[in-house]
Amino acid sequence: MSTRGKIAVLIENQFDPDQFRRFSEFFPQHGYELEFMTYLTGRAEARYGSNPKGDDIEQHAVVRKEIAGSDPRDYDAVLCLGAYAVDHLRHQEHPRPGQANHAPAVDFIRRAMGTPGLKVGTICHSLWLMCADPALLRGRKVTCAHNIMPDVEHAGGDVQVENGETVAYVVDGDLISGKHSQFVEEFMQVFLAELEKQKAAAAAR
Amino acid sequence: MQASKGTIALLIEEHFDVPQFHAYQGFFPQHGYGLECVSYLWGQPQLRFCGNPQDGVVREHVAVTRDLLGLDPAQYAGVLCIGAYAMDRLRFQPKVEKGRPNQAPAVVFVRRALELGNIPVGTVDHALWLLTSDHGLLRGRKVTCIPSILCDVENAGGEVAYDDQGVVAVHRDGMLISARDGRILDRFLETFLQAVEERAASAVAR
Repeated sequence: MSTRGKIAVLIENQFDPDQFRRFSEFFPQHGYELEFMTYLTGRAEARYGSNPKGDDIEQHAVVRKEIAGSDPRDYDAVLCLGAYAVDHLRHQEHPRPGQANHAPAVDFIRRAMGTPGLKVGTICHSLWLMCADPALLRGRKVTCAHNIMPDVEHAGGDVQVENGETVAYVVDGDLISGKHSQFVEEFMQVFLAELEKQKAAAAAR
Repeated sequence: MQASKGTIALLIEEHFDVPQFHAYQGFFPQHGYGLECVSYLWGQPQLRFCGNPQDGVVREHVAVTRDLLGLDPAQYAGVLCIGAYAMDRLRFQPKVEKGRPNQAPAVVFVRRALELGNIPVGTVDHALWLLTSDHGLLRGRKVTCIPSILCDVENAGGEVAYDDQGVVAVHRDGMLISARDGRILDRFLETFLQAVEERAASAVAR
């Protein structure tokens, strides 16, 4: 089956196991190839375990694509895995005061969000990646896990809340955010719909 | 057995940093202080938490019976917030409201400790997430942290202490003592203990 497109998936250790499992099933079922990428820092591959549920580390990932030097414009979309995967991706070895974060994943997401039509998806904690540059979230309507809501708001994001809870998903232009693994099915359906709309619009031009 | 000089409250939850946990369990009793693990118990008499995995395996666990709900920090000689991802768990609120101060019991507890002003509060690596959860807790405070959470700390109004290599290893701002990561725990613990002993000395002097 020829592929309908490619999605870059940013991943690191302690990624969310349910999102990983469902993305790995759902998007290929709908014709989209996933390419997982991380900081290999010279290694041929990186091996990660999912965020534990109690004692259980349910999922394991072997990643062979380096983020540094990758171009999001080679992809139809970018997905950022939740739980704690994005934390490590923001790391800088020698940060300087007042200097913008140029960790490769932050540069990658900056370029992705600056490319019209390129869909970017976050779920539960992965909006943390955009918190690394307040220009990325300023005035954007989003949702996220309750835990990180203050970080997202401090970074300028407009978190959508209804009846005391952040909403299940939000589409704001090319940025599609989801609340939590509990709503991963809705999130994936919405993300796919946005991808397909973009493809149809591009084909019509 | 030496009478305890006081008790340190250790805020802890799932995905806690295991080397720090072991270090605190050894250090404080050696210096005459008790260490009590505290957490939000969600209405349960006890909760059991798993430590962050080491070499891909979860190896450590802790059972907590002391509830943060309604707990007064003034009874403790000091307050420690354990590192890794535990503090992200402790700031969770089941219901949120834009503009309302964070009501999670752990945040209420640390907010009160900071308001009192004379209780040492210590954080290592990611633990400052507990303080970024509220709009006012870090404003005007100078701290250090693991570099991956720099943006969260600065966006919350905290000032980060840098040196010519990056962020400093340990910083003390009054009774707020923060450390970049667990590699310099000895220096962090000495600085924290100094603050604890200063508070004890000033209490005796009154």
